[in-house]
Order: sequence, then structure tokens, then C-alpha cells
Amino acid sequence: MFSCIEHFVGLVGSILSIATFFLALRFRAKVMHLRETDDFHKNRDSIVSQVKGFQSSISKDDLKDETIRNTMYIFFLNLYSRYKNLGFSTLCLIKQITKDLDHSDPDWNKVLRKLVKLIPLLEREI
Amino acid sequence: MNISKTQQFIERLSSDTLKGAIEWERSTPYAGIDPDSPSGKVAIFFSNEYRKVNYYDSFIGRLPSSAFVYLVDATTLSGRDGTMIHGLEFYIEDSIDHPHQLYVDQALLYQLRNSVNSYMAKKEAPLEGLINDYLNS
Repeated sequence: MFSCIEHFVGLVGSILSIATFFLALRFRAKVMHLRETDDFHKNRDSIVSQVKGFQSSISKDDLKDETIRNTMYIFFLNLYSRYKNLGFSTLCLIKQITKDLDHSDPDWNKVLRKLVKLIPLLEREI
Repeated sequence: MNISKTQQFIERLSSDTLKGAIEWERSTPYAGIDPDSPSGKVAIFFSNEYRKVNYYDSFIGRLPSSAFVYLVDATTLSGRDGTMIHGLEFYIEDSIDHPHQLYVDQALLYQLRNSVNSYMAKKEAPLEGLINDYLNS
């Protein structure tokens, strides 16, 4: 009889431990999400300005050299890994731009078109 | 000051920088500038617990008229709620040690910085070549 109760208590304890573990994971994910959102809100203006700056450099100054390619590549790579909570289409576009820039001679017109699309998406992010 | 004229000025600076018509230097010599110094540069380059200047990514440009312009990368910490604001500041010095801050759209300043970065990469290329030669020897 005792053995049966012990097994039952042990089972309930295990289930409670596993449930607590998953709850803690969910809580951690929620906290991370809130921190990322807060961080993005504080930096949004600066991020949008940098993207607009890249757009103007390519379209108005015809700046398409290795320096700007490297700067943009690092900028978008950071943006992608830092703000995982951005909208799906925003993240997809950032990933595509990073991929486009990961060539020694990228298609700048393609990059420019994607930058133009990205600016309103970033401005609309909650 | 007329905003469109300021905008035109920055755009022209950006294109002239790419043509090599304006000489730029990094602001690293001003790192650790004495805040009590009477120099007008203190207002541009001072750093304290509320303001951090990234001297390596801040630049000093000399216009053909011999006036100086300053593009400063600074992070400001709000003492009220701890918010950190990162951005670029632009100053123009009309006479010795008399700088004025021009409030310009940040996107324009980032455009100018992209041009300055490209200029600096070309300027520092021989040095990079020397380092590469040494590393490959």
C-alpha cells in the first residue's frame, strides 16, 4: 500500500518538476522578448536613420564600394541576431539583404529596392 | 538656420568627401580631453558618465575655406530613466574655437559618415598594405 502511495507521490512530483521547468523556460522566453522589444524601441530611430543613410549613400552618392558593403553586412547581421522578435517579413527581408551583401560584388539595385521596402516595415514594428 | 540649406550643405559635404575634396581625420587625439580646458573643443568632445564619445568613429573635416566641421558619434545616457540614446552630432566651427552645433536629420549624418568611412578606408589603405606585407612575410 505504502509502496503504491510512494510511487504516486513520486510521479506527481516528477510531473510537477517537469511542468515547473517548462514554465521557467516560457517565463525566460517572455522576459527576453520584453527586453528585446524595449531595446528595439529605444534604438528604432537610430536604426531607421542608419538604413536611410545607407539608402541615400547608394542612390544619391553612388557609393558601392567594399567599405560600405562590409559596414552594411555587419549592421544587418547584428540587427538579425539581436532582434529575433521583429515581424516575420521584417526578419526575412533583413536576412535577404544580409545574404545579398555576402558577395564581393552584390547587386546594388536589388539591395536598394529591399532597403526601400525595409524602412516602413521597421517604422511599423510595435 | 534654413533647414533645406543645411541639408544641401551636408549632401554636398558627402559628395565632396567621396571626390576627396575634403580632408578628414579621426578624432582620437581628443580622447581624454581635459573638461576644464578653455578650448572650444571641450563642448564637442567631452565625455563623462552621461555622455560617451566614440573617438575612433568621430571625425574632423577641413573645408576648402579652412573652416572645420566635426562629425561626432556619441551615446548619451538619460539621468532620469537610464535611457541610452546613440546618434551622430554635427558641429561647424566658423572661427577658431567657436563651434556651433547644427541640428540635422540623423539619416543625412549617417549618409555623410558612410562617405567619410569610405574616404578613411582609402586614406588608411597604404597602412593596411604595410600590415598585410608584414603578416605575409
